[in-house]
Amino acid sequence: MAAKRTANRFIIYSIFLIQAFVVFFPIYSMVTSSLKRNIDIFQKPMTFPHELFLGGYEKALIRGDFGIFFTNSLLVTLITVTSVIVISSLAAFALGIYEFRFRKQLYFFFLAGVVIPIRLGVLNLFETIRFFGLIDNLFALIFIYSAMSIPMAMFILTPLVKRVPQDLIDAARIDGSSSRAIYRHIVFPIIRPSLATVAILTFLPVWNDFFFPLIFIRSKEKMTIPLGVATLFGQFSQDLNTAFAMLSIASIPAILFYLLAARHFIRGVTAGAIKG
Amino acid sequence: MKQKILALAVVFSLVLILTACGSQETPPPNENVTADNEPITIRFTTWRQEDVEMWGRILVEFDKLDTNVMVEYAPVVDTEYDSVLKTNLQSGTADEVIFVRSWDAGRALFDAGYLEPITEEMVPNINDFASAQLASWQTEDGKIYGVPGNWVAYGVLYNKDIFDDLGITPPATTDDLFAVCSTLKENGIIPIAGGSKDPWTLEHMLSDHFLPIFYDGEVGHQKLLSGEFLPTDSEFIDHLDFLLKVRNECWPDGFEGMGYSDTQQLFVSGLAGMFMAGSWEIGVFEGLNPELHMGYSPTPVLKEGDKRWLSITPAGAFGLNANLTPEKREAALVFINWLASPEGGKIQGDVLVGQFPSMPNTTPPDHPLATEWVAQQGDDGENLTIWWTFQTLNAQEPGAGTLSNESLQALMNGDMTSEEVAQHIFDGIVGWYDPWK
Amino acid sequence: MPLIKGHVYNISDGLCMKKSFRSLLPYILPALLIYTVFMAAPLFLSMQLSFYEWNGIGPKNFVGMENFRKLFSIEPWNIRFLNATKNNILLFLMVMFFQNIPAFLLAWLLHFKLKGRNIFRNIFFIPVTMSVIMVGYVAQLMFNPLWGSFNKLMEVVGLNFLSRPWLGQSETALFIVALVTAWQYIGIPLILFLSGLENIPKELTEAARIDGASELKILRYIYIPLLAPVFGIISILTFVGDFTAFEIIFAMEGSIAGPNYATDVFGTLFYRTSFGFMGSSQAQMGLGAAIAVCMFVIIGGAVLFWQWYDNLILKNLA
Repeated sequence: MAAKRTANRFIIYSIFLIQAFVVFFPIYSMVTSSLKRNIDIFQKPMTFPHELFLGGYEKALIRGDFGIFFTNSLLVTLITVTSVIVISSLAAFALGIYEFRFRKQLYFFFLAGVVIPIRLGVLNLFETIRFFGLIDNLFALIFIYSAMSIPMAMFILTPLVKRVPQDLIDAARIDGSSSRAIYRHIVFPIIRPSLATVAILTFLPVWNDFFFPLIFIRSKEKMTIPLGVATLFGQFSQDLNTAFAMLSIASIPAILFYLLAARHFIRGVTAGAIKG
Repeated sequence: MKQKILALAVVFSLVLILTACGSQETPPPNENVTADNEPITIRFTTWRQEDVEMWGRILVEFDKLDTNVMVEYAPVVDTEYDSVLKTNLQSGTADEVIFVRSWDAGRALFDAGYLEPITEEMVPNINDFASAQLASWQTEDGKIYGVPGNWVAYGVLYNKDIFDDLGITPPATTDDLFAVCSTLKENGIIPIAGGSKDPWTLEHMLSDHFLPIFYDGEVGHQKLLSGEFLPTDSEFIDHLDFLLKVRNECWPDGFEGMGYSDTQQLFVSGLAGMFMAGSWEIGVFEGLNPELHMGYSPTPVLKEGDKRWLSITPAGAFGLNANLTPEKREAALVFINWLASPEGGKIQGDVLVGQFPSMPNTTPPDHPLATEWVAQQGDDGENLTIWWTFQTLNAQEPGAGTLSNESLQALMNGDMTSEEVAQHIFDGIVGWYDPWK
Repeated sequence: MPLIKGHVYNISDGLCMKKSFRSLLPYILPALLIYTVFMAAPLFLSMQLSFYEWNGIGPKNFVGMENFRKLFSIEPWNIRFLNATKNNILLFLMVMFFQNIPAFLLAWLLHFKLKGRNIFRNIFFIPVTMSVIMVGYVAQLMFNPLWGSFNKLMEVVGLNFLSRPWLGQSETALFIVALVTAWQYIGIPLILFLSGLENIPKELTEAARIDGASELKILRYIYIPLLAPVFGIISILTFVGDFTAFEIIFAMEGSIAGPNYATDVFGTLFYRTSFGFMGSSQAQMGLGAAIAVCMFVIIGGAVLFWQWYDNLILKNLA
């Protein structure tokens, strides 16, 4: 029995290690290539650099202001995620608990947004952003990203709110609770674990987007990471070493930042769910 | 719980900071109250991100003139340039000076009224430009909507060290080309750095480059436009067969996975002997490997004695945004006039090596390879021929660009035959291009 | 996904608590306003474009249903459209296979509380934090036939015959796109499965174990049936993600989605058609809008199907 258990463990850990290797190999190859001269990248792509060559980093750092790219990306993403969670959970609450005129129409109106690429509306969107005077302003991105994330959030949250046990709500209503109290004390605690899912699904496209910054952001001080990287990659595509250095600079801090916060982050997703 | 409150507090303070930053920003200065000595800033937008550093050096020269005009170089990711520019033009937020693509793509901007026609009053030497240079930014009734900036040409770049070591000379004819390829191959060198992953390189650097030697350059090009010569004719199919032979005998293994920058790296690192190059490549290659000894050789011809055509395209022109305040318009014209002057042209030609300035009376660039390449155009540009895929045949979809991109890649990867490619290109264009019907 | 027992509703069922629209405005208005102003209205206005011919600038010509006719029955547009549909379905199936199945397996293994499981779980999630466009660039460089580290790795482990121009061959390019997507996003289904597994009431599995059921039996008869709603939501998220995919292909193969359109999906087709391609093809905003309308119908249909399925399994569970 014990032997079998050890064997099982061995298999499980092997699978974990293989997957960890799969995760790290591209990252390893990116980082080591960023430290090699171009000719070594061609001839010995796999090996560890025999001398640390920092020329690529020098070039990449002179051209790109990565600190600013990071701050901007982080600000835009954080504000968008927070506001989407607050705004959509409120709306999902109203749509999922109460019956009112236009409820179904309203729900499908929101749902339509899940599936249409917002890019198509870019010309009209440009008019809107200009109308609000938000050209070259990070708030343009925050509003657009919030708008494009709300449908997905509603799509996930509304059915969950609808599944809140009716007896609970009835009981609260008999006690004379207001809709605000029902939201805060009954509905919110139940949907809270799923808010983490909403947060991740909001975070991803926002963190990745380079189309809207490309159109709405003009000054270097307001560029986000994907736009900064896409702009620089065009300049360095023939210079492998610098290209890899730039990709490393742009991705490693985010990875480290995530690893530091991973405990809180993933606990938010999984542990929260247990209470639900 | 405490942690959550803390996290919320952090987020909200960030929001506050950002809002505060936003509101502290001073409103943009009203252009009308600008004092005389305060510089007027204008922006020049292009798709040439690669040239950021070079334009920095050109603009330093412009600043020395002390014109009261400050220019900012504003490149956009090249693949996104057209959509970003269109969006900005329509909402009135486009930059003052606009790099305009040649032929059909640029014409659409002018037809929609977003570019101001350039007259002699605005740019006094506009009519001194060679007509071949002006043609791609000129309407049928003679209106000009861009000051020609530069043009690029095709030819062969070879690695001098390798050729000297093996005692071979650059190929003069296509037969020579294949002989050279086999010598290089025997010596373990990739003959031509080529690949088919980026189809636009097949369109421009192979088809646009080599079709002229088959259909007698500009003579054939004009026949193609008028419908006297069609892609289904034997010369066109011969040129496709030739490209296939180049692929078979001169390209490296795994060419299907090699994109443009991959092939550039192959050549620059000395692993390949030749590169079917655009002239702008001189600057790129020298920047990547200053120790590389390159030689230029004109496009090989079919047989000794054939006319040596130089396949070119005008690349971009300086256009003037039609919706500017008088101050900005004046400032933009100051800049455009400098760009159009012989001095401005000279600096552009020297800094942007291989992007040949279109300005009249410009002395040749201080670069032996570039000078050799430009000289190939002959007296009064008699050897010049324009890329077949760029002019007129690309005005609608499916156009020569889309059709040749997709079918040439299929040809190289063995999914289509030469005859099928020719038919595919003809079928696509004949649907909307009347002279071919 | 928490499993909550209780009443099951369909969105079209009536709800018992009636309230006036006006009294609910404080809850609905913020979402409605931002969504309408910054997304719905601009989109609605541009959807009208599907009835026009327009190059993105200059005059718009009304052409009725012509754009849709092109997509469904006129060469070469119908070929491109059909090809994108095919590739999208293939991409979806491959990602389901290479991403969601391993994710479930890993989640199952992770939920045995072995030492170090948190470290591994955190590692598996790392690629999610990288931006798609960067992953695409790295992949493009890694799969290079001459110096890409992937081919070298294959040689090191003795699989030389696998070394080939992966991104350059129409047979393999889409497969690589699917692998890269799976590599990057395996963390998301993994976390969702994991939280699903940890939400399954312990009494159920304990009772089964006392009865002597093996872990595989528990997996087969308890976990998989109870996780059906999670499978559902992961599938629909994968579907929506793949049918709107663009950046990863753009970074690896350009918007021309080569070789020979082997990686062309709705996202790239829509983009290339609407905005043109680097001056060598013209922008056709109207035709692009028509493609978007079709995407809307396809994805909308899938979402409705999922809702029906979700209600069905919830009824079964309840």
